[in-house]
Amino acid sequence: MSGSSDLFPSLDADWAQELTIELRIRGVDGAAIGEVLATAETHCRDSGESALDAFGPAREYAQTVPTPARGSTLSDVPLAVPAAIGLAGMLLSFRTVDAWQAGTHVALTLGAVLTWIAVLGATLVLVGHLELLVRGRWRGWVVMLGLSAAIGILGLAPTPTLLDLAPGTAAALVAVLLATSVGLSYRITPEPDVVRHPLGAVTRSPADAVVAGLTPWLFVILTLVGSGVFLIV
Amino acid sequence: MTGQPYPAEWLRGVLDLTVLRILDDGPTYGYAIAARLDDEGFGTIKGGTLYPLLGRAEEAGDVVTHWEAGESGPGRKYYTLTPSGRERLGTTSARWSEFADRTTRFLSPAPNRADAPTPARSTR
Repeated sequence: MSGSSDLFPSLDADWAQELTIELRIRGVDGAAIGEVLATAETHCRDSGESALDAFGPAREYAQTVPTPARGSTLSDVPLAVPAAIGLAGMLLSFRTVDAWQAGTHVALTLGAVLTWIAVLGATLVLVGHLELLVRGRWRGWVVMLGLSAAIGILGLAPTPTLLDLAPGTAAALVAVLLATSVGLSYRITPEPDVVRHPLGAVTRSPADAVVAGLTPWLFVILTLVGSGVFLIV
Repeated sequence: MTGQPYPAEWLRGVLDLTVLRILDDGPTYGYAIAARLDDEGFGTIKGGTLYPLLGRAEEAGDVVTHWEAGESGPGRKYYTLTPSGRERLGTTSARWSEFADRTTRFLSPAPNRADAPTPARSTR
């Protein structure tokens, strides 16, 4: 947890990180996590005890923190719109580069559309069940592998062509989709929910700030990198 | 005080009441509550027990909290008893006294028990 050791120096960093992860999984926001950590910090500073001695294992202590009522996964759908559009732009860009190299039109197939829907659905489901990946050990990874295999098969399977686009038209569509994704990201993505000390300080490191700044541009970056790889290979 | 720690299950029944009693003396912070309980002979109360209890008291409206910046540190969370918490302390303390008296009388050796009932005849 970058930056937290400055604000909570009396807490063992691993204990604080585990507590933060557990509380995040339980849907506790950054301000409430900061309050829990700050309370533990002052107690350990005053008593001279380690966090483990005073509060027990982080995962067990996290169970005692009141959690907000968890919204349905559907509540994340509006936030996923920029990512959905960006993903569509990225997937279309790969087909466009492929078609441009082969000198053919870009075939927008049913498989490609289903791949897009499957990736979006899988992402939403996984976001709603993060504990499966963090705690599920092999089960989480089996689910991930299964989803990846299903998505791969969908993308490669011969399916009917829904739309046939000239490479130039497809490239223009890619640009529009990516620009829309970036614009919407800036408009509707909420402020990062950082862990915040009750007296105002935050645990946001320079690396966190860079990641937050690049996030709206994620699919543009992935498109450029992916297309570059396609061209080289 | 015997110097020996009391069984944890005894303390569990009365810990929230002792915490409210300490807060009745004025707002204070978590570690000071734990230290006072230790001074009063209730033993060492771990943070993992104390803060969830304080959290439940806050949710119940018995205490309110605020943070105060410290001179040498990042500040502390203070707990203040609310009027409803004070009322609960009064009623629950009275009930506790009644329960403790009853238990003490019951556990007293029979000759010392002023209200000792006639022993029930065993049916076995």
